[in-house]
This record gives sequence, C-alpha cells and structure tokens, in this order.
Amino acid sequence: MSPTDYIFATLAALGGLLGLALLYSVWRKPGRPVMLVVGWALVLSSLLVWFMVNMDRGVAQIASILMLVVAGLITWPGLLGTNGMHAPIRIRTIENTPPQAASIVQKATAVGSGIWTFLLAGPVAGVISFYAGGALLRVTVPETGNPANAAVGAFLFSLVAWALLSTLLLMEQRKLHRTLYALGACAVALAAAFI
Amino acid sequence: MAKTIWPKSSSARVDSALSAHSVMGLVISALLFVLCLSGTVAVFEDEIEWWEQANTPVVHSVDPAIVQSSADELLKRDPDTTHLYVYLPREDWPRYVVGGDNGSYAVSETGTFVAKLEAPWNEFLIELHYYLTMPHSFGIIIVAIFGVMLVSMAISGLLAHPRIFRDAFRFKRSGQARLAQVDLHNRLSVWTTPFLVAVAGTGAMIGLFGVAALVFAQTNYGGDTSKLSEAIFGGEVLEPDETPVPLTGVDTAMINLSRDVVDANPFLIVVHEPGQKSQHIQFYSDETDRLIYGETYTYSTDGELLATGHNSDGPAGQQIALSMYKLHFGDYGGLWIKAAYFGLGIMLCIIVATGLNIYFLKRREKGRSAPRLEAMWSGWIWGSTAMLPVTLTASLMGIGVAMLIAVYWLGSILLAAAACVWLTAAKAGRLYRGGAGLAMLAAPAIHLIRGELVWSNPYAVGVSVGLVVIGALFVFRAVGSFVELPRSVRASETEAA
Repeated sequence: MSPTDYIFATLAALGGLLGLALLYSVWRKPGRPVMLVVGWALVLSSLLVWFMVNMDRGVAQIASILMLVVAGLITWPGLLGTNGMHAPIRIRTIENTPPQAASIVQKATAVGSGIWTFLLAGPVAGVISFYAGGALLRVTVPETGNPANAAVGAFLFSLVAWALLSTLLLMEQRKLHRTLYALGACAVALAAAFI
Repeated sequence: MAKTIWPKSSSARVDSALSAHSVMGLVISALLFVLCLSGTVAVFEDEIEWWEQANTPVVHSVDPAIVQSSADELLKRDPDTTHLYVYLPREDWPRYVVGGDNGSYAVSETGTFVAKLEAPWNEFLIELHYYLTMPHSFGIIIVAIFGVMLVSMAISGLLAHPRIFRDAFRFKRSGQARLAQVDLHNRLSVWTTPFLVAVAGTGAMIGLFGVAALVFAQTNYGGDTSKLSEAIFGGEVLEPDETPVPLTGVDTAMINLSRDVVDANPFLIVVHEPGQKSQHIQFYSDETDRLIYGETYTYSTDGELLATGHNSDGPAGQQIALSMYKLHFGDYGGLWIKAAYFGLGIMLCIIVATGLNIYFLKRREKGRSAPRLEAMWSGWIWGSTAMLPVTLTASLMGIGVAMLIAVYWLGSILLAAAACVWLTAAKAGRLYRGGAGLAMLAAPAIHLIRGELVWSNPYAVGVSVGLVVIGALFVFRAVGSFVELPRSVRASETEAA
C-alpha cells in the first residue's frame, strides 16, 4: 500500500466507524431514514475503499476491525458488570418441581431417539450433502478447460448444505417426518450422484 | 422502536429454530469451547513457537548462496525427505527456518544450523486445535465437522432471532440474569457473524478436503482421490524420476525469480523430490493485497521458469481455495489483524459459554434448576482455560507433548468434576480464573529464570509481556469480583456450597 492508500484506508475506516455510530443513533431514536441510509452507505463505502486499496485482503481487514470494535463497545460494559459469566444480579428463584417419574422403557426410548437424531443431523446429513455436491459437480464440471470453479463450487455447496440440512432436520419436531425426509434426501442424493 | 424490515416470522418457526439451536448447542458446546479457545491462542502459534526457543537468531535476510548451502546441509541431515522447506525471513517475521519431513531447524544468517526446532507446547496446541489430540487423519475430520456444526448453529441462531435489527445494539445489564446473558450471547453472535462463519467455514473446508476428495472421486473421477486436488491446485509439474542427482539450482532459481518477477516477495521455497532427477523448486510469493496463501513459481534446477500457479489471477474457485488458510488463522495483516482475531476469538468463546449459561438459567426459571451441572459447566469453561497456561508452565519444565495432552484433558475433567462436587458455578469461575492468571504469570517467570528470554527478540518479549498482562488481569478480576460481591450473595454461595 502506498502512503496515499494508507490515507484513504484510514479515512474509510473512520467513515465506517462513523457509519456505525449513525446506525446506533438511529437505533436509539428511530424514524430518521436519511441517517439510516447514510450510516449503511458509510459502512459499505469503507469496505469498498479498502477493497480498492488492498483488494480482498483489505475487505477482510476492515471487516475484522469493525466487527471487533462494535462487538467490543456493545458488550464491554456488560462483561465488566456481569462478573465474567455469572452476574450477581437479580435471579428469579423458583422452587424446583420434582421431576416426573419415567419408566426404564421411556428413558431408553428418549436416549435412543436422541442418538438417532444425532445420527440424522450429523453423519446422514453429511452423506446427503457430499453426494449432492458430487451430483452438482457432475452437472457443472466443464468438458474442457479448468475445473477449479466447478470443484470448489461443489465443495462449498456440500458444506453449506450440510449446515443447513442439520438445522432443518433439527427444526422438524415430528420424529418420523424427520427420519423420512433424511432418508428420502439420502436416496435422491445418491441416485443423482451415481445414476 | 423501529418497525422491523424482516418478514414476519411465525412463532412456531422461531421456536423450532431455537429448539434446534439448543439441541445442537447441548451436544457440541463442551468440545467446541476447547476448539474455539485453542484456536484463539493458536492465532499466535508462530510467536509462541519462537518464544519456546527464544535464543534462536533473528535473521533479516539471506543470500541465495546461503539458501543453497542450507538446503544441502538439510538433505545431508534428512536424506530420505521427499520435500525440503525453506522459510525465508520476511519483513514482519525475521526468522530463517529450514526443514524436511523429519524436522526443522533454526538457521542463522550465515547458514549455521543453530538448533532443531523444538516447541512442545506449540505442538500440543496444534494437536489440540487441528486434531482435538486424536489420530490426525480422523481428528482433522472431526474438528472440521465442528466447523460445519458451528455454521449450522449460526443459521439456526439467526432463524431464531426475528428481531435481529431491532435489537442490534440492545444490551441489558440489569434485571434478570438470563436476559443479560441472552443479550451478551446475541449481540456478540450477530456482530461477529461474518467472522464466525468465515473461521468455521474455512476450518471445515480445510479439514473436510479429504472427505470431499474421496466422495468426488467416486462420483466424478473414477475413484482417483488425487483428481480433486489437481482440479483445484494443478497437477505435478514434472514426471517423477528417482534417479539420484546432487541438489543444485536453488540459488540460481532464487536469482532468476528476482529477475523474472520483479516484485516477487518469496517467503517459502519448497524443493520437491530433492536429490532426484525430477527435483524442482517452487517459490511461494506473498501477494500483500490478497488473501491467497501465495503465488507460486516453479523453477527447474537449471533456473528455468517451468510454471506459474496463477493463484492470484486464475479461476475464482482456485483463488477461494487458496485463501482458506490465511482467512482461518488471521495471518493477513501482521500483528494488528492477529490481535483482532484474538479478540474476536475470545468473543466466540464467550458466545459458546453464554449459550449453555442461558440454558441453565432457563431451567432455573422453569423450576428445574441444575446447580451441580451449572457448576460443572463453569468448571469446564474456566478449568479448560486454566489448563492451557498450566500445561505451558509444565512444558517449560521439560514435559513432552504426549504428557501435556494427558495433563490437559485430565486436568480439565478433574477441575470440572471438582466444581460439580464442591463448588458453585460462580465460585468455580472465580477460583479457576485466579488459577489461570497465576499460571499465566508463572510461565514467563520460569522462562525468565531459566534464562530463555532473549531481550533482543521482540516477539519473545511480546509473548512474555502478553502473558503477564493477561495473567495479571485474570488475577485482578478474580480477586476483584470476590471483593465486589454483596455480602448476601457471598452468604448464599457459602450456603449453596
């Protein structure tokens, strides 16, 4: 980076912080759309300027710094005032209710169900995602030329799909539906990958 | 308050997302915390490694002739190595290291092999963060799956948070304990989401590359697991030929690189198949405005440029794949960005810790409190934190990596168990924070007493000062938080204990 780049980068960083301050101000006193737009514009401009002076590394650098500053400013007073993780502040004390007695069969079913859910949201979702990624690669890989985009695209797709699928499977409250969705998706992914 | 611009969420969806978030959090939090904590410290792994051998020389630059003689010397010491690595000194990292498959050496400006690199605690830290101390091929996959699960937690957390913009700056410090913890958890999570997704996603990508290679080999490459790597990073430059030849041309290649690529900034030289006819020399050059690990230039031993990697101007996929390492470890802006990553890493640890705190506080509000489990969680958080400086201190007394691993896990488990049996959550936190602080103060003190601190080495001095400052803060906070406690709370704690 040249000295001019440093000047632009510093100004852009300050602009980004000012933008965040404006967003905070709008949050405190809503109904000021101009300030809201200016706030976001300043934040985005700081990212853009850092991209211009230091490419993708610049965007990552300013994003890291802005994240740290905002998260730090918001939570620092809270961290000081909560005795680490354990706030000596008002705790609603409620008498413990005795747990309902469960039979051994009920307990075993609950444990088994937990393990099955874990398997579905973990390894099974992983298998679905990676074979779906393989199927995607079969479709996207070019016949000639560099396959890097297709390969990395399929790999990234697999990872995002795994994370998303785990969430969706855990969000499905009906256990049978959860199992059917997972096994169905697994069959579809394997078929798409190999047939 | 402003109206949300977010589409209105159904409460059923929010409840489901929250339930998914809680279930996953309960399953993975304990080990995820250790991974986040070790990753936070590992941001400074290079500095810590040097601190452990602070008396190895500071080197600002090396001549091509010295690089050639160092390569020759390494091949004599490690004749069976398949690759030879020369880490050249950089502007912000004045160290010269040469290594092979069986170890690395710190080398002086004149090419003298000063010492074999031995940094047991740093090695332990890498074992912990990269592999969770499991066998490498298995451990890296498990760790990467935690990365996927962390991304999944971010997704479910965002889905469970319909008032994300309305609450963007909200932080309630008084009132109910759970609300304070929820605000701490949510605000940190929301504002650090890009960092969280970036480090978890890049970690997952690094660790699951082998799995992707295996699956894609079945579906696309006729069972050849090397094809994915070739598709992204390119194949071998020369066909292997094992005919023995002397190792030559590293110096010529280095001179020619500075001629061929005027602004090249090489920081790593890899000699492939050294001592064989197919040997060739690959340079990694730092692209100071890019996140890629480096641009590569491959030379023959005759000094001919055989190939350029096009990591900086090739397909986007290749550039993305090559950017994973620096983005994960925050190694793209010197100490300032490393410090920022350290801070963001601590926030990630707080997010994980507060996640289960919220769970326990909710239980308490529903009349199903679990004080023993709460204390155990607090004991695990602060115990596993304290065991890091404890093992650092132990390593200075000559304890090896395998023993450090055992001490770390056993110590963390015992501290959590002790908290569960004898302490309250708050008391365990204060006690172990104090212990962590004392251990952080002990490590640099022992380092100094043993005469291992070299004052002219700014990186080693920086690590010692950092440990003293953080250790003192921990002790100060542990003592201070006890003194600040209202008498009634202290009394109730004593009663509960």
